[in-house]
Amino acid sequence: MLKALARILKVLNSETEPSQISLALCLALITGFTPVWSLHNLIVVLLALIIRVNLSTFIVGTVVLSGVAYLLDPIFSWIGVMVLTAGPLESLWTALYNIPLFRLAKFNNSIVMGSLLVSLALFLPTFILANLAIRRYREHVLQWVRKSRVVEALTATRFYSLYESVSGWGR
Amino acid sequence: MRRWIRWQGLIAFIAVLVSLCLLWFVFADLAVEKIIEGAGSRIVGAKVELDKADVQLSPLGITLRGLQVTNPNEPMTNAVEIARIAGLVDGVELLRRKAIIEEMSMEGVRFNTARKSSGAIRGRSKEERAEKISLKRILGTDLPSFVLPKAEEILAKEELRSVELAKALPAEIEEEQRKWTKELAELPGEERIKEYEDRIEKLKEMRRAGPEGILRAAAELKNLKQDIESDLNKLRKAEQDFNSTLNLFKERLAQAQRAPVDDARRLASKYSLDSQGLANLTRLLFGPRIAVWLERGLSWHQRLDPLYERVKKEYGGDAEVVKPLRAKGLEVRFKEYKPLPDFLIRTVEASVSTRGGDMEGRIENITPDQDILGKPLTFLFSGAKLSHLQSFRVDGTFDHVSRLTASDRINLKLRGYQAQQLNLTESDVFSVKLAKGLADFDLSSIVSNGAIDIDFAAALKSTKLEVNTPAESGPVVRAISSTLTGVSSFSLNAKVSGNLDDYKMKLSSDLDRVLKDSVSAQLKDQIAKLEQELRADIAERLSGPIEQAKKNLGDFAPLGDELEKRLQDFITLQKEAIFKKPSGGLPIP
Repeated sequence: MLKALARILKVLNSETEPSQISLALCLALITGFTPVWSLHNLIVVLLALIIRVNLSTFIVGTVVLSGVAYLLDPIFSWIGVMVLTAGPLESLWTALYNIPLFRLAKFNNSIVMGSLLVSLALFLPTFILANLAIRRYREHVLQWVRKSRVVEALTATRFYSLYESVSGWGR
Repeated sequence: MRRWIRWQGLIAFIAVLVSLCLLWFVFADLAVEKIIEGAGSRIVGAKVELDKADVQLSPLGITLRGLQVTNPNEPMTNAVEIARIAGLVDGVELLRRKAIIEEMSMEGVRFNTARKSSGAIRGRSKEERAEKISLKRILGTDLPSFVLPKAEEILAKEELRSVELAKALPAEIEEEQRKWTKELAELPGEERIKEYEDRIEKLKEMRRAGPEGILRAAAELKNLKQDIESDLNKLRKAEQDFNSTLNLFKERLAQAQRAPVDDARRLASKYSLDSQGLANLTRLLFGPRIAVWLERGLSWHQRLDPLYERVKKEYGGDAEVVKPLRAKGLEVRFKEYKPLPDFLIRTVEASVSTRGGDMEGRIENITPDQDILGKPLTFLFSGAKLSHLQSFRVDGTFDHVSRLTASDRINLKLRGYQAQQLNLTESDVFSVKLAKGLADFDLSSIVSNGAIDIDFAAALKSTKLEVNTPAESGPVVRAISSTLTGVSSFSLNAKVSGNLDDYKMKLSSDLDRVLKDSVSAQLKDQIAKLEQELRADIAERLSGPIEQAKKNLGDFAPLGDELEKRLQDFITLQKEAIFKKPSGGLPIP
């Protein structure tokens, strides 16, 4: 049983291409910024699991960005109210409002709408920038980091060897 | 494509989804229980507890058992306890995030039940209306005292304005005297008359110098007349001012002399049950108790407000922003094709258990969005042939369909209530208890746009009142006690009007007349004695300043005589010297 679980984790964490990490971060942007118990997050989680993105990045990204979102909530709410009360969009929102699925998605909540819009707007720029940053990091910084004393001390621990055995990062 | 898809992820997703469903299934009851307890406690301001919540999936419904709502004013008592609440939830509407319960039943509703532990919420400093009752504000006056204090005690507490004014009077007269002495020196007097006489003599000489002299004399005479007239006016004005000052001082002196009588009467009335106080002893007997009931009723009205109205902010068009009952952020609502409130219980059938027996009740349209539903909240509870009550009926309408015409109405009719051991008044002076009696109550209450209008009428018969007084009680209290003990029936009326935060209560009863008759005789002698003592004391305090003021006024008044004398001299000068026909010559024009 544990072996099977370890195998699943290994598979899920084996995607280390820059685009896979960047996409994971972009998906985490949505789950992190928007309220956790929102319907659209189910779809995002499903995407994160079935698309070969780096799951560790997705999880850590979600946790960290949730903390950031806590501070940004007033801005999200303000954006949400602006968009939801914009005159030209009223007929669209009214139509969606009368569809149970969208009501269930809480699209008319100012924070849900504001944070979703912000995270979608940042999706593509984040993907491109993160991709670029990871490549640069691997080319110029990674070797230096691996040789640093802190990382050497860390990789010598038992925890790292355990993590290495399942994550596939050490490949 | 395979490079981008990992099918194991789908298995993990399904596993997560199933786990979440299982978790919900296991913890849904507990979650609902906590949500109800939390929201209820926030609204009430004291603990709301639930023994068990049971969420069922088919058909979708909820059953609550053992709901206890603490009375925030008495944390060891439940304001209401409900054994079982059950209702079916509309599943389709729930997908639209609308909790619609068509019919709900409440069984075993009981009021004022004892709690095992305190239901107070720690650290909560909710402002309780009932704790802030100001009887003076509500009843419009302080309640009178039954013990007459001594004159010196009253005078030690009271600042007598009359004494202060009387003390200031001699100094003020002295000051005016100085002012008028200085003024008199500057006003025209004997020297000026002498100047005028000289000018008249010169005029006479001019007249003798032929026609040219006569013409010059006429011009000079005109100037002379104007000068005398001007001086006369100054003197007249000064005399007028002086007389008004003098009269003012005389009036104030008279007031100071009358002050002992007026002040003694006022103070005796303030510190005793005078005829006015006696005329409304009902306030003393029933005012505090009714005020507490009223404040508690209004406090519940305020607390339950979120159940029938919530704050909405309109943004123009059909969109409106609504602060959600729970969760963060704001909810923007749009026009619905089939408008329904977010929360609605269409009908609640309740069975209420009281010590006297069971009553039935029905509440309709519980929703914070009455404007959407288009119907007000209504309720009706009634019962008949109960062990302590012949019949009971309370009905009401909380109409908030339109904010402009929002009004809350409650009507109560209670017949043949067998009251027992009901405390009416508890004070250091005496306590009155309704040991037994048969009561009929009628209440009609309207709260509309912050204004309240309540009419309450009670008729009691076959009553037995028990009055407890301390051993050292005075004759007044003893007289009240003996009168009340003999009362076998009485009626009581209360009228409350004003704003929710500032209202007045008027109480009247036929007891007032009975009590007045019996007590006034006892009180009359005592008040007269107190008034006499007060008068003597105040007169003594005033005697010194009054004597001094009289003396100073005696010195001040002669200044008026001097003014009058000067005025007469000038008038004489004007009449005799100018308009008099000179002997042996032409009259001066």
